[in-house]
Amino acid sequence: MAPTYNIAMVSDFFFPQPGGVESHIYQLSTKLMDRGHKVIIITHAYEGRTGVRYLTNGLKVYHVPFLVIYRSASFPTVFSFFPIFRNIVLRERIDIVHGHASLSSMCHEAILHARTMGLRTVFTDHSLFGFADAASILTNKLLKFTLSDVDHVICVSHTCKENTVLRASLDPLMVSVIPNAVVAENFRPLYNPAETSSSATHSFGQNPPPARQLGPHDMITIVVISRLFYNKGTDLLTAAIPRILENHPNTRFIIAGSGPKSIDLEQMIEQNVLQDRVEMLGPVRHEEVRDVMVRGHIYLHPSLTEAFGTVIVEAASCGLYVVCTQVGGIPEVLPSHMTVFAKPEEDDLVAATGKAIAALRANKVRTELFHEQVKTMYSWTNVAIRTERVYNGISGAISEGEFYGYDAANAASWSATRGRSGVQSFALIDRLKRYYGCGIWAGKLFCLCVIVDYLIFLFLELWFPREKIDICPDWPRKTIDNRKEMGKDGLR
Amino acid sequence: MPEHDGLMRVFWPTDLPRSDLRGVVVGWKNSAFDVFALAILEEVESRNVESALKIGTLLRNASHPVSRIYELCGQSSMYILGLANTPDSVEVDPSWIHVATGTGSQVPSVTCASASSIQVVLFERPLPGRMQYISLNPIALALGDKHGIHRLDFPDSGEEDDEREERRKKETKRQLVEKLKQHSIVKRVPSAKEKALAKIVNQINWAWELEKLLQKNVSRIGTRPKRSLSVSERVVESATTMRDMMMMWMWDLVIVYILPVIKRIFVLGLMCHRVTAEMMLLILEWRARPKYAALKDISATAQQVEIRLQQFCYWPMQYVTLRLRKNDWESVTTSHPDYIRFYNSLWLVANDVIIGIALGSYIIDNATWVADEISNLLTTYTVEALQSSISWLMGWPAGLKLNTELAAFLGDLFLWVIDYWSSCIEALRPALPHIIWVIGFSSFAGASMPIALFSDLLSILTIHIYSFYLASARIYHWQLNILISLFHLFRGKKHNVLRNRIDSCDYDLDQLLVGTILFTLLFFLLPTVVVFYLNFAIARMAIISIKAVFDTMLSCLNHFPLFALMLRVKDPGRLPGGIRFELRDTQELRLAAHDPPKGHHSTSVIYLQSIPLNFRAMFHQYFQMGNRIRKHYLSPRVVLCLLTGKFVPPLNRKNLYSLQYSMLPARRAGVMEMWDAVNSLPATMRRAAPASLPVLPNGRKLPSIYSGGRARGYG
Amino acid sequence: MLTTAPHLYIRRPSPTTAEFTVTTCPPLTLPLRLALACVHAARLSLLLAIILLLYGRWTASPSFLGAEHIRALGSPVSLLLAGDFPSLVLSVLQLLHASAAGQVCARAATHLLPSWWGLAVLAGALLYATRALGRIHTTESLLVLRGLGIQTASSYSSYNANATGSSSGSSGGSCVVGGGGGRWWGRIFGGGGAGGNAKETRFIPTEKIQDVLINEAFRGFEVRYYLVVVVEGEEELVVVFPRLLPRRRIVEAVWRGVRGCLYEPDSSGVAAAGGGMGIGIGGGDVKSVDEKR
Repeated sequence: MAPTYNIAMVSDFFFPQPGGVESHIYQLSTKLMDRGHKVIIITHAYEGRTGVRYLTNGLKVYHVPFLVIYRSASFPTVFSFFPIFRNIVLRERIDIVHGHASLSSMCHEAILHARTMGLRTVFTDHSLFGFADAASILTNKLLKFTLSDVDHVICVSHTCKENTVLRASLDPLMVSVIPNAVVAENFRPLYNPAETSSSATHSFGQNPPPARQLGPHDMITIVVISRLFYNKGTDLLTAAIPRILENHPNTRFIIAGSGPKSIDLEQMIEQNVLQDRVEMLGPVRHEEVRDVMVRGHIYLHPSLTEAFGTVIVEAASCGLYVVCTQVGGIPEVLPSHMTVFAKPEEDDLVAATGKAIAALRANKVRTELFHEQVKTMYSWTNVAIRTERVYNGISGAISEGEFYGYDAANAASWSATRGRSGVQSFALIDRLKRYYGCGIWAGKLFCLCVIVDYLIFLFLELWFPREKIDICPDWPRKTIDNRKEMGKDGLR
Repeated sequence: MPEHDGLMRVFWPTDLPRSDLRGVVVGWKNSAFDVFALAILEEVESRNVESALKIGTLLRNASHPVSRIYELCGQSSMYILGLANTPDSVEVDPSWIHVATGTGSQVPSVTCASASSIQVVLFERPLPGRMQYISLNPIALALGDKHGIHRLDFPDSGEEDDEREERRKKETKRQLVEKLKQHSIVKRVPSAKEKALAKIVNQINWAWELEKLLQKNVSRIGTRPKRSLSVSERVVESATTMRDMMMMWMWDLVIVYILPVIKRIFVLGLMCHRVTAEMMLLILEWRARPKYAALKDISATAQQVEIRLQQFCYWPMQYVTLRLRKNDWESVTTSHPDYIRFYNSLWLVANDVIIGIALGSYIIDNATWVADEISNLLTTYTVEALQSSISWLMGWPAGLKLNTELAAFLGDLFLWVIDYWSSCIEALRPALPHIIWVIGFSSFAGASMPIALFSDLLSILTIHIYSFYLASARIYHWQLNILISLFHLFRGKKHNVLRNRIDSCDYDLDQLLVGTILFTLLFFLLPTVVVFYLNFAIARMAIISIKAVFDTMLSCLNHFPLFALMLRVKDPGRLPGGIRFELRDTQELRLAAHDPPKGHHSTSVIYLQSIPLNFRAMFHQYFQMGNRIRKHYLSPRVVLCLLTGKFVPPLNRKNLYSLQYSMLPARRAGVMEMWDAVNSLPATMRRAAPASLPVLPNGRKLPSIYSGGRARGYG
Repeated sequence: MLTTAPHLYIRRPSPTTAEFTVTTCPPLTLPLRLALACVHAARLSLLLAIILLLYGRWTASPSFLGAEHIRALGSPVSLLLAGDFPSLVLSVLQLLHASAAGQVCARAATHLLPSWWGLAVLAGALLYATRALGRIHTTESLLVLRGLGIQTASSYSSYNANATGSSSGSSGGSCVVGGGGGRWWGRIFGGGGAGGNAKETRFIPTEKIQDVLINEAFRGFEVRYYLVVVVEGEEELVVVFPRLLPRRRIVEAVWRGVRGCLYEPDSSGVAAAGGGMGIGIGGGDVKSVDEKR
């Protein structure tokens, strides 16, 4: 019987705020619960939502009242989260703490405190960062601090893995790549193949979905759905739209999303008098994204940096032809027949869009097949199985050799890298050794932080003893009865 | 759903007279196993009682219609509930209770054949004669929340942000309450016992009066031993009856002839007064346009006069309501809050007048001294202090290097205006003692008058400070706006007035240069203007706070719940604030009972008590008003207004109205309505004649004018 | 020693009425009663100290030295017989002032705190200490009456609470006496909310009860379980045991008891399942649930 764990997902970003990280956490948690584990989520309080909540599938969410500074990241006092965190972890009998998103200070603090308390920790990184500017240098140092003593790291793409390994000076064996996934049923194209096939299995002689024919003078709609920030390439979009519309008379744009750059877009529309060809929808909710997407034929993603790009997969699932910039982890996400790549420059973007429009008008692209293909490529259950393997590895259910895949003869050299032993020990002196290697001054500062953390832990054990904390009754767990089905696409 | 679960609930009054005699328990039956005992009728047979209840003999000679009783108590008739102090050998209905009111303990021991557990709820009967009663909800001393009507009066007169905020909060709360209703998983149907609680509260309020009525009519049931009077008793009885008849004859004379004349004159005077009051009120409340302020909004004196006039208009209506109360049963409790409000209002006015007379005589005696003091105060604070502060600012205040030319210009400007103003004030100075004398004289109409007049006098005499504040705030605000706009120019942006957003804009080089130079100039001139503005803003805030103090004193004098406080101390039973239950130890009961309890009944003894209104609820309106004032003056909005140079609006008098309207109706009764009401008062009832005329010792009967007989009472 | 962790006491004289009391007052034994008596004595002495301090300060002030008539008063007994209460009070004060403790207080008042402000602050602090001593124990209770409703009550006291504390239930007589004495003390020192022993009660009729639930919430640095009553028409929940917030075991026991007692058992057995623990108990005994079990 495979072991089941009590997992706490910690991140600043969770519902009711919409976003990629949030839905990743939610979907992963749901699938892990389907596999019989217990998952709770710890996040900070949002407007009107504080306290303990149960979501409809039994997922328990703790909205901790905390001060929020910028874009939903909480105020980084290093130690003030410890008492509440310890209380929650003890009452839920947590074994593994899984933090998400490097911009989330709550996640980093949780990893630090969890290690002090002797729990296993995993960190998932969702975004790419630079190395040159001041903010990045500081963030990378902090990341080095936190990730000096984490059991395992998960990244959503190989590019992201490279980036994280370089930033935090990690051992690449400690990092796994588990991509995001998409709930394909929520992103169906217009003709809705679910009505034609009643069962999940493909039967012989099933009619292929009808092709979308486009005449040379039909209106092609280009859809853009993103948060309108600088790093999402909105400036590129603002510059490219007038040229695209000028080159191709029968095209129009639909832009959904909000952000500080939306004013620039509006100004551009007014200056070029494009109100009839560019439609700005404002912010749309996650449930409405599919309805916006199926109105279009092409999806344009001019982002300047992207770790995974879940929205591209969603667009492809809806049957849209994707035009995107070749940055970050985007090339790993979709096969080449579904996308047209461009460099993150204005001219290249215009040219690529032109190519895509021409290809569609010539009916060379079979966009109606995209949905089925995406459905087989990505599934959250797969992500959950792979994550569960990571948990098994760090808690010792699988042997190290099997987990890390290294030769037993090289064991000594492997542990010599950055002072790691296979299963991280919790002794304070070992932890301090790991932190000391972060830098000349930073190492000593971080060691000091860890010592203070440990002292606070001892104080809390005295002041709020464990006997006084009530243990929660668990939500009834699911049992797994069809392991065979899971096994075939599982352990690699 | 099962009708019962073996639980018998008995409501029992603790102050029933206790005796060992056998009797029949009579009361209300709220449901099959929920009974309310009213009285123990002693020495009667249950059969006779049953028939008497059916015919209604027990409620004869009631002074008011009996249907009211049934209507308010929610039952159609009374029943026999059981037997008291009766040995169990008698055949009875199994649903009847057996009560043993031994003189041992206060708690009777109750048993019932068909119940497996018994809840005895004991209560002390409130005395309706002293206007005591109990209630589930606290007594509403204020007239209802009239925010809806309030809004109609001022449709688009610029609701302030606080009121909008309050309305929004109320709306979200209402939605939350609606949403809560959807969260119940199992919808329960309330049982008959649970639904009966409101009726039972009424029955408790009626208990005392009904018991007296029942005991009065007990003699009509069955046979009772009669005893004839002895001779001395008969003599005493005839003498008292004679005296009663003489007094009644004189009283009737008065009623028939003298009283109506007096009443007519009084009513006429009242109507004249009402008409004049109506005219004055119309003048005070006239608005040129719905957005503009009426006289009562501007001046504290006008508002005070308006309150008094409205009180005068409302008193006759209140009095009529209270008089009508006498025509109904004493246990009807709906007009008790009106009684308290009426007397509170009377007491406050009387209080006001007494304090006013003391204050007025002091002021009149020392008119010159008071006038001197006031003029000294004024010159020191509003003229000299201001002048010295402006001169200080013209130099380098606290070492701050201001722009000398601008500071000199502004300082000279304000100083010149102050000089002119002080010369005007000097011209008025000889008139000040007369004004003070007038104020002192007006205080005979109540201490609130001089306070209101002082408040208005303060406003008038500090108009110059107000105008300085307006001017300097304007200048500061303009400067700030220009600075912000030029700052946008720095960043290459522009404020788009059409779309109300900040757009990016391409500026020419010369535009940028000129903008930068202007920005620097204005930025360095800013501290000077700020310093002057702060000076006047602080002065203005000080004056506003003094006026707020005056307003608070006025509202204390006008609306202090004096009567309610006095009642709370003297007789808390008249101000119910809810009920509470107390579970008493049944061990006492077990120890007290002499005979072993029959069967295996588990009995719980519960005491029901009334909680008197707590002080916080009495001063609730004050807390609300205090909250409003605090939110208005100490809110971040005010600080923002001060920082950006917008005008801090003085507290709208409308907010103070909420306190006033809690004591007065929003719409006052018109003149004709009052005429109808006053004339509809029933004529004073003549006292009923004695039931039987005594026979004089010489055997003759007294002649009487009552031989015609008259309908007395009902039933 | 003077207080303990919250204990639950259940009183069920019949299956349809139940009272759940949670209190921090330990079962009253003789040593505890002595300790409580010492606490009362400490309060009395603090009050006396405040009065003597103020009196001592006043004797040194010029207004007293000029008031001749106050100084020549007769003996307290004669004043008591004469019915002259103000003078009686003054003469008693003078007697106390003349005693050793009074002299100490007077000297402290005049030399250490020459200004009235300092004296006011000290008097305020001593008053606060008196008030705090009167609030050592907290007692909160929930009374459930089938067919009527639920009543929550909460009070502070440093006298014994309503609970009897003995599990056998045969000491009914002693508990009544103890309770009576506590109430008398309460009227002297308490009085309507100013001091201790003010009982705030709130009654909710059954019709208005929408639901009774257990929920968890953040409080300070921890997450606690609490029992809550949802009242129809109000946007705020009524928290039962708001000051003590006992632990989960007690809250669950109370919840089951409430559901069993408040609602009549349906044929579907919904309430009966929840109240299975409660219905079997009856007959007026007192149960206590300990935290450590």
